[in-house]
Amino acid sequence: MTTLNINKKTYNLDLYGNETLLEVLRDNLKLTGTKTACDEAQCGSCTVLIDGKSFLSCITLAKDVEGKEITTIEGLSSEEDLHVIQQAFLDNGAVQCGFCAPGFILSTKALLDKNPSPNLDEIKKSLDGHICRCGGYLKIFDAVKDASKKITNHDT
Amino acid sequence: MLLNPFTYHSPKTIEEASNLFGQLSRARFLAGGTFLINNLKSLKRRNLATPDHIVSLKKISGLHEIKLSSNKLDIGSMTTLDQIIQNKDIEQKYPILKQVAENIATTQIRNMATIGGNVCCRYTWAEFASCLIALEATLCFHEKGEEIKVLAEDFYKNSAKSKGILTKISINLQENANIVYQRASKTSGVDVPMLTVCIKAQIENKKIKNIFFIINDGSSFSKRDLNVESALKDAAIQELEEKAINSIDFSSYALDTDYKKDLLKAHIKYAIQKLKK
Repeated sequence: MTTLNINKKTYNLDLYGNETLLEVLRDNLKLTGTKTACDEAQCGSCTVLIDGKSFLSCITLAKDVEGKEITTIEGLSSEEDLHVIQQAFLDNGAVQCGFCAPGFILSTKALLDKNPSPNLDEIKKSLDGHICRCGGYLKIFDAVKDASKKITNHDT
Repeated sequence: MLLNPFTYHSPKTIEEASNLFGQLSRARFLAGGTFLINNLKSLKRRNLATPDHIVSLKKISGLHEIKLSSNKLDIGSMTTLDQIIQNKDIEQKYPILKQVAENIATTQIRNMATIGGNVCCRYTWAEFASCLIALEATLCFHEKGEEIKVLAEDFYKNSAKSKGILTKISINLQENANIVYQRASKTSGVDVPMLTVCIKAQIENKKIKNIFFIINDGSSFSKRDLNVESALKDAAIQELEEKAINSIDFSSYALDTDYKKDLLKAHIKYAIQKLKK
């Protein structure tokens, strides 16, 4: 039996052992917010947070993350409101087809938790593991800056 | 894609991992997973054989630590690249390690990938090789209950073949040594290097002493260029670029075009200019 802590809930799963975390999230738990795109660690669509850091779930074995705190895009917001980063992405037109968005948003969460006021170079460096096939990078950077402002204003 | 079936093992000690690996056939170790899992997918796609057992090193205590004493740095083999980048002692005393780690792949990969995986992966372009040779690092392996130590330079001369399980990398403090690292990549974004130049030297009275000159051409493991080292021994600083470039035997590298030779010459110059600063 494999016990996974996902979005502050505990799941006890009967796994073979060769499942990636991405497969468990989408197929076993129907948490389909985390996307399968390239499936070879190039695009960032499968990004989740593990103990607050961004990881690629398509190359993470589910059994390897027992005992870790896993956060998917579903775990970011409450039932009523979107997270400030999600809202910033919407407000700034950073979501076109939306497929890359969950990954970008979670990496942004990891960045702003560690560095609430990143400059543009720090934003680009932190998001270097993501591809947006729609080409929406500039809007995404605007959204990150917007979220950063909202978070730091809220804290002060 | 679901990976081909295998039995997953998660030993808690290095001895358990070593014993287990010795008993199992068709087993592979799993460190950060950034090479192995993609390889397993690739093998499956091509209908090639995949391992029957995966032995994860993640839960073994003692492999994830960075320890700095007054004259030595020990880095556990399962230390992630991000841990190396964030470590203040490494930033202060061994900044070349941070510089190399920051260049590798993407943020997510750096959170997952381990220095041990980078050392043992046997990809010729893997970037820690050059700086570990320059730092005269010792690689410590655990094999059948014994600790085996191998100099990084000898390890890569032997095509990076592991002796057991890599447990840590030990580096003595490099007094008064300047180390520079220069990489050439096709794009300014995330990319593996086409070639790298790593130079360690002491500069005394504007002359070069104790030089290590390491080149990686991407298709063979990093190695010291002894012709260049001999030519630069006791050389004056202003002569370095010309002497280095004139003493390179380009036929000993996989530089089959004039462009690649010019690329190496340019990056040698950049590296030497960094050294002079």
